[in-house]
This record gives sequence, structure tokens and C-alpha cells, in this order.
Amino acid sequence: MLLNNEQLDLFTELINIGVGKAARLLNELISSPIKLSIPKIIVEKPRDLIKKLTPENNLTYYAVKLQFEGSFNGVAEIVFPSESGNKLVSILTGEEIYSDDLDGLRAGTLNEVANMLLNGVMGTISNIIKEDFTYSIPRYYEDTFANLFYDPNPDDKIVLFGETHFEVENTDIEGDIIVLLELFYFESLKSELNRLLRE
Amino acid sequence: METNVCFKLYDHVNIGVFVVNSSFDIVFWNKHLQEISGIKKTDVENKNLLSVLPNLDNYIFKERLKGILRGGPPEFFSSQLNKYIVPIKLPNGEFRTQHTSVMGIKSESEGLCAVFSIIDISDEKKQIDNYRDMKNRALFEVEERKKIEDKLREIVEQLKEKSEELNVTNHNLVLLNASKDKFFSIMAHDIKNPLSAIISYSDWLFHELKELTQEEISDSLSSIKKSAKSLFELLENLLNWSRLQTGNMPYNPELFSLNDIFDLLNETYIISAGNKEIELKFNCIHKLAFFGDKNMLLTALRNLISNAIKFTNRKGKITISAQKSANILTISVEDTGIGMSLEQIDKVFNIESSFTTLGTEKEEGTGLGLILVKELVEKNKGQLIVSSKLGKGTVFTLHFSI
Repeated sequence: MLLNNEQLDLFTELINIGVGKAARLLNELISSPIKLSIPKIIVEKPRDLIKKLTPENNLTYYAVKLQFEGSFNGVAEIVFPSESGNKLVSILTGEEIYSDDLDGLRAGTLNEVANMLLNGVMGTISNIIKEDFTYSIPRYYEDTFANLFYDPNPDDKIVLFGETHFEVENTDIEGDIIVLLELFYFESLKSELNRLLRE
Repeated sequence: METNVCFKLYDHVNIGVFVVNSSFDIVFWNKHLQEISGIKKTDVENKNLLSVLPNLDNYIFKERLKGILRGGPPEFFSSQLNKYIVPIKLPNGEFRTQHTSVMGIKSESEGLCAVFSIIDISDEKKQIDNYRDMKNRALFEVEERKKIEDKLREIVEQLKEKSEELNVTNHNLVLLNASKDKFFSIMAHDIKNPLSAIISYSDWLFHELKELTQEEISDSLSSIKKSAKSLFELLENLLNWSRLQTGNMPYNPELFSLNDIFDLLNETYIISAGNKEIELKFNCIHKLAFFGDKNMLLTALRNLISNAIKFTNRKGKITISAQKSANILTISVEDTGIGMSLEQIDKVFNIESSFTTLGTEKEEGTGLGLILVKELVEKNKGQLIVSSKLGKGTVFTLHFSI
């Protein structure tokens, strides 16, 4: 087990505080109530997680990736199944869900929403491990899950994975928040969590 | 001045860039942004962002900008959720569409600053809108064309139906015309001939009675009788046929004994068959009942038997039989007469052919009898089948479902 139950519960709570802040900002921006929660976080090695998660079908997923550099490097991303992504964009922009015009609106809208949520997550991680990062501009992708998650060197990394539930205008929307960290720095995250637990 | 120098590089990019310090003061405004917005850098540099762009003076924007200025991740402001950061009007009065990225950057003189990169996507949006309009117009035209095609198809269908109706009407008119021709043909020849014979013989008798031998008188009266009988049969058929054609022969079904019908027919035709030494035999071993129009069946059988007598040579045989199987009643009239070829069979049922043949002893026919028989049998929901061999005889079989 990479994190014990206590460490995992604390980490889940901290991440939820981070995305909660982001959700409040989103509420103001889109003026329609949005509830957001990450009920469970899984910490796994990339290979093990891919085995568990990669869907067998070739459905399209929408993803926004935020790369960060600092004392260690990584990438934070949000992945939406296309159906959920389209629902979210449709609610936020008021465009019909099956309209061709939704394609043109999707990239910008999802980029901004995902960016705000990822900032909440990264702000939390940055606070815990007391490290500042340099970030690249968030980028939007559309591809299969396997392609989006592809990493040529997965063995030296660890994945923090959270199933994210949105509730907007009585519609449930699912997405996955994935943070890929270098394994070495995962230990500093763990020791900071232990320190917080002791406080 | 020193501040401007370190951001000077942004003057060489063709996107709008401006930089804000931690006090929200604009410390740099690039040339491209000056060109597209019409806002001069000298008018905005060193001024507070929220006073220059009051549209940004809101809680969310300020929170997000503060995050960046605290060293947080970049922010992306989409055109869908924010419309614009810097309001730039197009000639049509609408605002230019922008995507804006904001990221933190450290400056030696200003500390952590936020760099705003504004990508104008108005032209792309306009193109997309144009394509969308074109697509909508094309879809509308396709829809309109489809409506016109559907309408045309409907009209073609209606024309086809009308054409079919016309064909039916035309066919009925042809039949009606043939009926009329038949009627006139009968009037012209078949009624005229026996009447002429009656007039000639009676005239001869009237003028030459005293001169004529007893045998000559008897022969003349026999011819008059034969012609009168033929005329009577013809008129009876003509009347029935006319009633059928005009729909004035109502179908009155009743349950009656077929054996009684056979007895009646035997009484009617035993003498005329005997005159030609023809054996007339009625076979109806069991008592059989028939549900149908009695007069129609009688007329049909009378025609078939009188035809059989007409076309059977002396010493021939005519057998009228009736039998019942599971749910079929069969009545047949079989003779050992001269028979018919297939071509003749076709003609006797065709109203347009006006086919008629003389009997074995020059008996005249109307060419109407079998047409009438067929119609009467069908009125009783039956079926008439003919089988015949030239020189051997003919069988008319009537099948009725029971």
C-alpha cells in the first residue's frame, strides 16, 4: 500500500478543500450551482492503474493537461468521457448537446473549467509539500483513454487518481482527476502528510 | 522605464500581451495590443488594471489573478465563459472574440507579475459562423428540395391512381360498348330472323292455305312453332341479361331442394330431347339442398341443358348430375355432342366476340347463353368450369361452396 488509510483520508480531504475553492469560483462564473466532490483517491503505480482503468473500447475522451516543473516535475490532468464532457459544455454554454456547434465551444469551455479545478488541486499539493512550481499553459486534448494516459517512462512515477463527480442543474457528470508525480517526490508528500497527521 | 525593457520582447509577437504587477498595475502593454485595441500604451502603463478595464473588477477575476500572483498555476479565460478581457469593438459594433491565458512570471524590478496573452479568434469565429450559416442554408435547401420531391411523388402517386381509375373506367366502357353492340346484334339478327320466319310462314299459310297439302301446313306450323320458341328463349335470356347488367336482378338466396329443380327441368326438356332421340338423364341419388337464388340457378341450368340438346346429335346422351363432397356442391351437365375447341371455349365467354354456332339441326343460338350462365353462377358465389373435346362432347361443371 503506497499510502495508509489515515494518510489517504487526509489527502482526500485536502484535495476536496482545494477543488471546493475552485468549485465556488466556478459557481460565480457560470451562475448555476455546481457541486463537486472527489469521494475517493487512489494512489497507484501507473501500470497498475492503467490495468484497472483503461476501458476496452475506443471511445473518445476529452482531457486538459497542466504540466508543472520545479523541484520535481509532473502533470496534472482532468479526463472527461465524451458524453460527460458534452453534457457539461452544453449546460455551461446553453448549446444543444447534439449540436454541431458544440464542437467549437468544447475546447475553450472545458479548458477553462478544468484549469480552475486543476489549479485547486495543484494549489493544495503545492501547499502540502511546500514547493513552488512553474506551470505551462493548460492544453486541451481529445483522444482515447490509453493514448491520453500514455507515458514512455511510467516506472519512476506515481499516480494520484480521483474520480470526480459534478452535479450541475440536477445532472451528474463524471470526470477523472489524475496527477502524475515522480516517485521520489511522492515520499516528501507522504512525510508531509505524516507531519500534518501528527499536528 | 526599466520595467518596460525586460518585457520589450513582447513587442515582437503578433498576439496582444500586457503585464500586471502584484498591485494590479499595468507595467507593460505591447504594440500589437495597442494596434488592435486602439488603446495607447502611454495611456495605460502604470495605471491600475481595474480602472483601465473596469469589466474585470469582479470577485472571480480578482481571486484568479491573486492566485497567479501568489505563484499559482496559470489561468485560462475562454471566450465562451468570459467573452473578452480587453473590450475591442468590431466595425459591426460587436466585440472581438478572445481566448486569454494568464501566467506568472518573475521580474527583477516588479517581482511576480501576471502576463496576459490575448489570442484574437474573431476571424476564425467569423469563418466558423459563415460555415455554420452555409451549412444551415444547405440543410434548409435540402429540406426544401426534399419537401418538393415528396410533393411531386405524391402528385405522381395521385396521377397513377387516377390513371388506374381511368383504366378501370375505360375497361368498363369497353365492356359496356360490347354489351351495347351485343344487344344491337341480337336485335338486328337473332330477333329479326325467327320473326321473319314466322311472318313468312304465316303469310304463306294465309295466302296459300287452300292450295297447301296437310303435310305442308303441318311443316309450316312446326317451323312457326320452332321460331316462336327460339324467339321466346332469346327474349327470356335477353331480359335476364339486361337485368343483370343494370343491376336489376337482386340476389335472393333461399334454401331449396335440388331434386325438385331436377324434376322441373326433366319435365321441361324431356320432350325436346326426345324429339332428337337424345337420352336425358338426371342423377341425384341423395336428397340435396341448395342455398342460393333459385331462379338464377334454374335459368343457368336451362341454358346449359338447352345448349346441350342443341349441340348433341340424334341418339346422343345428356347427363345432369349433382353430388356433395366435404364442403363443395357440384352440378354437372355432360353431353356427347359435337364439343368445342379451346378457341371456341374462349369465344363463348367473351362478350366482345359475338360468337354463335348453329345446332346439329340448324338450331339458332344467341351467343348470350353461356355469358349469362357464367354471371349467374358467379352471383351465387360459384365457379363454372368447361371441359370439351371436339367430336366427343362437353362437360359444364358448376362448383358451389357450402
